[in-house]
Amino acid sequence: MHNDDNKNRVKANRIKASDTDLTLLWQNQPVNDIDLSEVKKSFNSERVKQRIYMVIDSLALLPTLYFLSIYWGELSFTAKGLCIFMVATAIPFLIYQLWLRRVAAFAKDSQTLDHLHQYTRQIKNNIRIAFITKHSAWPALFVLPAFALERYFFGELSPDKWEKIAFSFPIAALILIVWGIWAHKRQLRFEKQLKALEEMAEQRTV
Amino acid sequence: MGQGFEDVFTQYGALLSRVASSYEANDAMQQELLQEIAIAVWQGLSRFKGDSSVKTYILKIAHNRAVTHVATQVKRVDTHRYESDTLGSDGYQSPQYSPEVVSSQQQSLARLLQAVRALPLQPRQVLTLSLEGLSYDEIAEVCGISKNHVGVILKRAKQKVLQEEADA
Repeated sequence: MHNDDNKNRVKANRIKASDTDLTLLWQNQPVNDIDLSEVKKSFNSERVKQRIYMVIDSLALLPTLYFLSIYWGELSFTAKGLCIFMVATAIPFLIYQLWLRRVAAFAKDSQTLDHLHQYTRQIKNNIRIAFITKHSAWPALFVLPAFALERYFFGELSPDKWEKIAFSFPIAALILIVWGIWAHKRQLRFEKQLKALEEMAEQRTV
Repeated sequence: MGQGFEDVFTQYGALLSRVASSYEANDAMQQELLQEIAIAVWQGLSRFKGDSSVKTYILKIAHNRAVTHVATQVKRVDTHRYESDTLGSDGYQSPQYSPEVVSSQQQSLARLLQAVRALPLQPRQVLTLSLEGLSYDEIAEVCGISKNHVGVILKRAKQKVLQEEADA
């Protein structure tokens, strides 16, 4: 009995000593210095960059809205429907994009577990958005011919308009293909980020 | 705010550097993460209301930033798993000890850092916060888990790290 007590005391002392050693070892590790001037510079440039991005995002819809305000009266019912659909689809994306920029622009003091959950959710949303963007690129290829057909059947399609369509379609198609590839790459990148987060959070037996 | 920021970094710069070292092994990446953390802390300090200690507050921000950093760095080389330059360029500074003791300390530190970085996020965070002297309540506050859970996780994480030290 007395022997057991001694053994336990020795074991407890060893653990206590190990704890102290570990703390000393940890706190005496070499540390890097913070470059204060670089931090100030980055802080200011990051703030300006985020604000510019938010303005650009907000202005992205303006050309479309400007076009619609000028030509709205000339558009047929079907064309108006297509335009309303495109704008209605773009607005939620814009709002989400602005929200993401705002979230990225401010440091969070939330608890790590909450941050991890929120960030994981955000990345999953980004994957979904990239997936939708990718798969919206190829149907968009049909929007321009759809407009042309709509004009052909329900409006007047003069030869100069045909020329414009023939000229603009390959350009639009090229832009949409690049857009689709870009969205695909974004999707892959976010999937890798999600995997990294899940691996980091993985609860193994420690 | 500028002066406050500098004061905070004078006091807690080393602490934040150790947070960076628990997520990144590569020295250059550690420095990059530390700068990111510093920017995030500067942003966060302007909203600090004094509900907790400054130390707890900036540790929350630092760990959140590090989590985001690890995810966003996947497009680059997987540097946080490099083991080759665990100690960085300076090495372990113990001028009062003999070269043999210093070398032994360097090896112990290298093993400790390697073992800490191999832990999943929660045990890693709980252990390093404990090594920084935070109480169970403070650790629970930073991590978002219960005090009892902190105890269980910490015990297992220490066992794991000490076991690896003993195996070496």
